[in-house]
This record gives sequence, C-alpha cells and structure tokens, in this order.
Amino acid sequence: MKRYIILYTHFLRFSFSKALHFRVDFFFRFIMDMIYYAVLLYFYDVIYEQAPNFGGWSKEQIRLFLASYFLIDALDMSIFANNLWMFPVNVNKGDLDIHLTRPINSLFFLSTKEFAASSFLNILFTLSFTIYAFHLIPQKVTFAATVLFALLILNGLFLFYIIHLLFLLPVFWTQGTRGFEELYHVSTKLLQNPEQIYASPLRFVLKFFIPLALINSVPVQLLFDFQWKNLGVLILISLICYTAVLKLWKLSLQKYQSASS
Amino acid sequence: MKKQKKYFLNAIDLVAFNMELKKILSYPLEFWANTLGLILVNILIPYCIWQAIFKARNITEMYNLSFNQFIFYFLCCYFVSASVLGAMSKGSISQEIYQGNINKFIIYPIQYLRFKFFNSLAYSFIILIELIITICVHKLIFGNQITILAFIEFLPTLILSTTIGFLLVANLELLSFWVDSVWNLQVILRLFIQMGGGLFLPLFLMSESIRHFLYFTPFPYLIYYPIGILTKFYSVIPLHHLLIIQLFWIGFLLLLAQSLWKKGLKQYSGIGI
Repeated sequence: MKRYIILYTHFLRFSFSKALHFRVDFFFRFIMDMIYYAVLLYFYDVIYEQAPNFGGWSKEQIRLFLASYFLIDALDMSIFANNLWMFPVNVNKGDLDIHLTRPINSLFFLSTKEFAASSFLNILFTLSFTIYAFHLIPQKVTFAATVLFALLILNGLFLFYIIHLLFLLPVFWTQGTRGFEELYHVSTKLLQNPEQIYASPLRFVLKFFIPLALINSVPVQLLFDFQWKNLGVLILISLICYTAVLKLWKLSLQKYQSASS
Repeated sequence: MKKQKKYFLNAIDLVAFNMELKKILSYPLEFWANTLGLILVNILIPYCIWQAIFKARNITEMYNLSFNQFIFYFLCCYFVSASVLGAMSKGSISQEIYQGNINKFIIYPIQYLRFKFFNSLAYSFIILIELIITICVHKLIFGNQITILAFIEFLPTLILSTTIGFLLVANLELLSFWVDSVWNLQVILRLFIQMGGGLFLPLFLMSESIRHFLYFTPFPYLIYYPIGILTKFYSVIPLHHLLIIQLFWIGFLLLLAQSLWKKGLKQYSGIGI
C-alpha cells in the first residue's frame, strides 16, 4: 500500500510539472468546465420555471444534486478520465505490453498514471459549490448523514470510473479503436437528472444493471429521505461492480493479443 | 470543363468521402452499438424530462406543442446536431498539426481543408440516412406531418449547417498552429452549439435577452431554424432568409479559415510539437 502511495505522489508530481508547460490547456479546461456547469444550471432554471416540483425534487435539492454531480465529474476528470481516453487505442495498437510487464497492478497504473492537474481548480470550485449548495437546503442534516453523504459521493466516483471501464473493456474482443466510448458518454447524460423522472423499467436498469443512479441520485436522496433498503442496495451493487470489474479485467488480459490491429 | 471539375467536385473528394465511410464502418459491432445506443439515450432523456414536466403541470400542450411534438423536436435535434457536430469527433486537424502529419498534404496537390470537409461529410451522410429512416418510422407509427416538400426545403439548410459546423471546428483546430491544446475549446464550441442551437432547450423557452444575443451568432441557424423549416412546429424566419444567413456565415468562416491556414503554415515547423 505504501509503495502505491509513493508511486501516486510521483504521478502527481509529474502531472503538475507537465501541466505547467501547457498553461493554455490549464486555463481553458477551467473555463470549459465553468461553461458546462453554467449551461446545466441554466437548463434546470428553465425547467423549474416550467415545473417547480420537477420529479418531486425542490430547487434546493436539485442544486445539491447537480453540485455533487459536478464534484464527481471534476474528480473523475482529474484522476481517471485522461487515462481512460487512450485506453482503446492502446489495446488496438498493442501498446499495453510495457504496462503489463511492470511490477505493479496494471489496472492501477493504467487508470491513474496521468493526473489531470489542469482540472485541479475544478475540484476546488465544485467542492466549494457543493458545500454552498449543502448549506442552502432548508432541512436539518445531522453530522452522521453528512459523513455518509461524503462517503457515498466518494463511492459514486469509483462507480463512475468502473462504469466507464466496463464500457471500454469490450475493446479486447471487438479490437476497435473506440470501444463503446460514445455510448458511455451519452449514457452519462442520464446522471444529470434525478432518477425519479425516469420510468420504472429504466430506473431498475439504472440501479441494478448500469448503476448510474447510485452515483449521485441515490446518495442525495438518502440525505433527505434515509432508507436502509436503499443504502443496502447501493452497497451491494457497488461491491458487485468492484468484483465484476476485477474479474473482467483478468479475463480481458487473457484475450489481449499484444498485436496491433 | 476541366476548370469546373477542379472547383466543384473531383475524384479526390470522393476518395476522401469513401475513405472515411469505410473507416467508420470498419468495426461494425462498435458502430451499430454506438449508433443505436446514441439514438435510444437521446430519445429517452428528453422523453423522461418532458414527461415529468407535462405531468407536473398536468397539461397536454405547451407553447402550442403537444408532448409528441416536443419529443419529435428533440429527436430531430439529435440527428441535425450529430450531422453538424460530426466533424468534431472525426476532425483530426489539430492532431495532424501537433504530430507533423500535414506535411504530406502540403506536398500533394490537395486542398487540405477541402479534403477534411469531404472526410467529415461521410459521417453526416450516415446521419442523414438515419434521419430519413427515423422520420419514415415516426410517420408510420405516430403520423407526423412532415411532407416531402418540407424535407426538400430542409435539406439545403442541413447541408449548409453541416458546412458551417465543419468550418467552425476547422477554424478552431487551425489554432493548433499557435496553441498547445485545442480540445478544451472544441468542447466549449460544442456546448455553445448545443445550447445556442436548441438541443438542450428549444429557443422559444429561453429568455428574450439570450435569444436576442443568439441571433447574432451562427448557432441558432445550425439546428433550431433548420428543424423549424422541417417540422413547422414554431415560427421561423423565411427559408430564403435562413439560406442567406447561412451562406454569410460560410463565407465569413471560409475566409477566416483560409487566412488561418496561410498564416499557420508560415508558423509550421513540419515536425510537430
């Protein structure tokens, strides 16, 4: 474990030093995300003008829901996304070899070697926005509920990463250059809305098969309406996902041919 | 005759088009899964959002549009935006500049941007076929009011908006001659096109001031107005006005692209960065 922490601090050091060479990227990445957040907030402003009780969520609740989504997205963009973008191409060209021969967990290395330092400012911003949105909710929230919420958001981040990976791993079989990347990106749009607005069959899919609802919708919901059943489902499905991705990774490596396609 | 071939359509254009088409279809499983998934999710999300709004307000019509018309609007939006934004994901101009791969295009007797444009048309062509199939299926099931005449009027607006989309992206990617990363700018442009074009929200739902500002940008003429011409769901400017505005933006962006290309080449080292 200590070895991995030391390794990750090296990754961070390299990434920050690299980011300083690309200052334009640093600046525009922040602007890009700010515009993205503004567009979504404006979208919901217009929606709430039309329906003040959209999906049974108040405006304050939806603000916290969006803030938590922004935070998870910023964390994912910083820690995992940059590494996963090139993943299908690396598999397609047979470039994984060098990573597989290193004396560390290959999945850890491939998923975390590049920290997007240019997104770091976004983490700070979205964290502040989440705290702000948290303070605006009219209901009283206990300390325990706050801690649980923070833990579930962290769990949401790992689920977000795992789902992304699950959309990419089929590339070992299809031998393509994209995997189901586009499908993943469009699916993540489902995250931008509370699960209550979806029809029952889709909600079932989003909880049990592609657990996008467990990333931020259920954690925010648990904050306002705690139910052991929902928490149990969230923990159980998360554990299944963690196990499934590790098994699938091993299976994928057996399928890996090293040869360029 | 020779002169006309050079300036209108030549064999290289078709090669560029065919090459990209083959590339897109080279991994059929990925292609079909992504295509069908994109259509499904892009129908599902607006369907659920607007169903929740119609339910919450207990209404059957909003701004003179029924629920089905709203969904059909967003369905058309998806296809038109995919055609317009198609160039975004396929366009590799910046990568070629960064890796020094445009050398061959400088040596060959090929107009680089023209080659890339025909490259990007391949994806838009697939989208057009998908749109036609969707309109026909929708007409059979829900009986929409789209006429052949409306579609014929819509077609040139779609071609022009696809061209504007390509030129917007191309101009941005040509900045790679000077800037070390442009993908962030591409995402910003994509967001502006989606929001200003009416993909997230129809423009008639936006505030007056935002709408007024958008009229001075190319964005509403890319998605919102062409769909208005096709569906006649809301009032839009006359067709000839739309075509003139679209041609104006094409002319402006083309001049800008040519200027950036010429200046960029002077800056270009040939070895990438």
